[in-house]
Formats: sequence, structure tokens, C-alpha cells
Amino acid sequence: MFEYEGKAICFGDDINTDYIISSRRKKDTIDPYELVPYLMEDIRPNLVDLLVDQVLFVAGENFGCGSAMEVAAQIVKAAGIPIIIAKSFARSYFRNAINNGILAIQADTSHFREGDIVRVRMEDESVTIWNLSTEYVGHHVAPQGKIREILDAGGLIPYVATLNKEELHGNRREDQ
Amino acid sequence: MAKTIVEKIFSAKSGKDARAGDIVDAQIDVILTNDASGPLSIDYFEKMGGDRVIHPERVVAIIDHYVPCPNSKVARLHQKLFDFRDRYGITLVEAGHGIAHQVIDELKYIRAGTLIIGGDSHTTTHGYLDTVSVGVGASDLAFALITGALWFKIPETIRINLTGILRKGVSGKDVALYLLRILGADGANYRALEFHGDGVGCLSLDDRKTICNLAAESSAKCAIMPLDERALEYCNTQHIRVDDCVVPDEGCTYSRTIEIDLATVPLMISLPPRADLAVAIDEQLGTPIDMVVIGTCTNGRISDFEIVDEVIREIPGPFMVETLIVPGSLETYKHMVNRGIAGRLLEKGAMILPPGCGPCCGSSPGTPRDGFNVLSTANRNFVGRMGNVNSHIYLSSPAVAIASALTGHITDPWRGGHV
Repeated sequence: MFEYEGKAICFGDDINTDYIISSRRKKDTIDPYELVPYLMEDIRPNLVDLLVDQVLFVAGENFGCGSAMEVAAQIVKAAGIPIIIAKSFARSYFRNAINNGILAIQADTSHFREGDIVRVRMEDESVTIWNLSTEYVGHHVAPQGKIREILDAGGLIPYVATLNKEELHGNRREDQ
Repeated sequence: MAKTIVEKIFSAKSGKDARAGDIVDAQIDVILTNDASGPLSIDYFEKMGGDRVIHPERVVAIIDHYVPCPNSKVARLHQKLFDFRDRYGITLVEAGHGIAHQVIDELKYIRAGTLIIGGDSHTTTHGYLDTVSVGVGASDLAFALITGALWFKIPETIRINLTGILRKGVSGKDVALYLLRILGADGANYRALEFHGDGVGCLSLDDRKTICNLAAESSAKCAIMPLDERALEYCNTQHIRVDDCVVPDEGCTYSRTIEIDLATVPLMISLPPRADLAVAIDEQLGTPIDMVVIGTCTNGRISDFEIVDEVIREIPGPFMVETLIVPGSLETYKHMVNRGIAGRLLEKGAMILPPGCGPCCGSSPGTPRDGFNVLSTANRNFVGRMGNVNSHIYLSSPAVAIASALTGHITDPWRGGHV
């Protein structure tokens, strides 16, 4: 079981990866910890000031659209944000989030406002979301299969460490 | 049961009878990376304990985003790619040869029926030759370097039927923006696009690349154009194998079908700050422009600059605004020089930048000033995309962009271009 409670930082629809972290910043470094001060700078200047509290991201449709750049997921993790709840995710961002051990939950987020206190609990089969500020409760199916295995390992790097050589290369067909 | 192209290719690459919604481990035929995502993939590769690249002959790294290298920090990132090549035997294409999506095309890595991944969202481009070509993040790419495979959820497919013939001057870019307006920024999320209809035949191979490239802006996983006569002829002249080409089964399931009569597609302009905010040019004629950029993986090919040349020969006078020209590849640049196109552009005051991504995402120079309206042939116009949040980016075809550079405002080159 995994449980987390934090203040909601809310975003609208179609938040693209350039907004999460601008490509121009990657000229200086690709270290996500060094990039944290620039997180969402073009659409939410001073967002970094909110990070003194325990927080999570709440968004509308298609979060993480645009470029597939993985720094846009790493930087969220580096900022200490382990959970993103969105109405939907862009597919490349969803993969990058899971691969970095971020719990990306697809859920109706219309009940959430900036600053709401949100608690998330993930169990074997279910994910429950409480909005403690409004008493809203949402029940969702927990990720299963490979996605869950990667999440439970803490991301793709620790997941690979759990595989043995045969599992790593076992799905290779002999004719290739 | 009848299958779509994406279901067929994933079935072939996973050895499973795969359907939309299934999760499969699929063998990758080509792995593409660049200097924006590649160094990070190498970090992941090392942290995953990677000690060999299982199929180095399938891996190409192309230096295109930061060209030429702007500072010592990027120089170290570039060095990582060179070191990785030396150690693991992958192919590396050095800075100045062009944009990854153009260069791997020229190097003939793209072949029908294959599964391609790239550490770049515009990897969708390569679906124009009947492939499944998907953009992935750096960690997925590292995993594929080590194992040769990757898990995929097989997407549902949206069928696009193209009929009719494009009006004079209307290009693949206009079709792409028109389609994007219909789909919206998330209209194809988790889905494949499959293009059909006799209208495809009037689209050049370059137009098709542009359309598949911009599919990324509707969040599509991939965009696929089955080989038609024109594509088969192209593959034949280029000596590209077609024996694995794939067509969908009759009666396969599409999540949605969109019909577009190409004859009704106007010249299109995308308004800042989203590519899907696309309108007919009539609504934007006269909008003042301060800077024009022609190039990028969307529209930096020889045929794009041939159209540019056609327009500058018809409209006299110098460029009225800063005009940046970014050839998509060295081959494109050489062609422009040999045909006199580069000279004619310089005569009018253009700045020609080295082949690569250019200022499209602010990685290479060409940053607009505060308050600038930029007209670009790129695929993205988000706030701050070109490195300045106080500029506004409009998107168009090369023909409209170059005509507008000559007038200083958004101009239809075939209707009163000389005003």
C-alpha cells in the first residue's frame, strides 16, 4: 500500500512538456534537480515557492502533450511530487511518468481546486482519492501488469534490476 | 478477425495475435535518437546496468538540436554520444548533417512493415512509408537499447479518408493543419492514424511526411500511410524493400472515420499558442509579421525550398522582415546551392542557418524579440517555444511563410502576393 497527502497545484487542459520545462533551459543542464526552479515557469511563475509544502499536481485533459522529452517527468519527481492526477495524459508522458516512479492517475479532476488537501491511497486493486477540503471521494482501479510492476519497483531503472538476463533478452526471437 | 495496420505490425513484431488494447513486447527494427534525448538515454542505460547494445546496427544517433554546439555544457552532452558510439558501435551522424527525421530517411532506414522508435515526438513522421513509428522517452529508449524490445499497448485506429485533389498552392502542411483542427490537441491520444482514399495519390512523399509529422500534435501514437502506387514507385527508385508492406484487413475496426475532400482544404494558419488553433488564411490576411522561419522536421525539405524559390521569383523586392532559412539536411542545403535557390534567398536578405532543428524549440539560435509575431513552418507554437515567452508564433506552409516575409504580413502567395 502507498499513501500520500498533499496540497493540490491545479492546471488546465493540454499542459505540454515545453510548459513543464522549456527546451531553452536544457542548454545549461539536463540535471532535473538543477532544473526544478524553472518548473512550469512560462505558465506558472513562482510555482517553485509552493514546493515548501507537500504537494501534488492536478490537471485537466492531455497532461504532458507535445514533446516526449523525459526531463519533463524527471523534473516533477525531482521537485518532490510523486503523484499527478489528470483527466487524461498524453501517452508519451504517461510512460515517462511511470518509468520514473510517478503515480499518474487518470481521474475526473473537476472536483479539485488550487490548494485543496488531497489524500491518495493505492492498494493492490484500487486507488482511492479523497479531497479532504471538499469531502469528495473517488474510487479507481489500480494500475496492473507491467505498469504496476514498474511502479512498484520505483521506476524503470530499479525494475530492470529485478529482471534476470533471460527475462531481459528472453523475448528476443532467434530469427532476428 | 480483421486487423488494422497497427495491429498487424505489432502482431508480427511480438509473435502474438495482437488486438487494440493488448499489451505486447515487440521487437524494434530501428532506434533513433538525437542530442536532446540521447545523452539522457545514455544515463538511463548506465543506471540500468547496460553493458551492451543488443543490435547496434539498428541504432542511429543524430546531432540536430544544438547545432553548432553552443557552449561547453552541451559539448559534454555531445561527447557522451561520441563515447557511446565508440564503445557500443552504434551509428552517429555529426552536427551539420541535418535533422534526425530527414537524415534517417536519406540513409534509408525507413522501410514498410517495420517498427521504429525515436527519442523524439516527431518520430511519427516515418509512418509515411507504411511503418509503425513512435516517439518515446529516454528511459524507454534505453530499455530498448539493452533488450531490443519494448512493451506497447496496441492503439485503436482512426481512419482518415482523403478524396479529391488539392487546389493549386495548397500543400501537405495545410492538410495537416486542417486535420489537426478537426482532431484537436488530444484527439488522437493513444490512437493510431491510418490514411486511405484516392486523395493520398495527389500528395507527394514529402507532403505525406509533413502530415505524419504533425500527427504528433494531435497526440497520435503513430500515423500510417499504406503504400500506394506513388509510394511503391518511390521505394523502387530508392531501392527500398517493400516485401513487408502491410494493408489493413477488410472489415477491421476503426474507432472513428474522418472524411476530408482535399479540394476544400484552404491555405491554413495556426494561431498562437497551439497548432490545433488552425484557421483558413482568409481570417488572418494582413496580420503583421516580424520574423519568418522556414525549415524544421515539418517543412525543411528540398521540395519545400523549391516552392519557396517559385514564390520569390514571382514577388519582387527584398524580405521585409528577418528571414531565417534552416535546410533540413546537408543534402537539402547542397541542392539549394546547386540550384541557385540559396543565392536567390541571400540576395533578398535571408539568413541561412546550419542544417538542423534551428530555432524551432529554442535549442539553436534565432530567438525572436519581445512582442514579435513569428511566422514559422514548424509544428509547435507554444508560449516560449522559440525561447522567448513574449513572442507569438504562427504556423503555415513554406509558400505562405516566404510570401509573408516579402510583404511583412500574412500573405496568400497566389492571391495578390505583390501588394
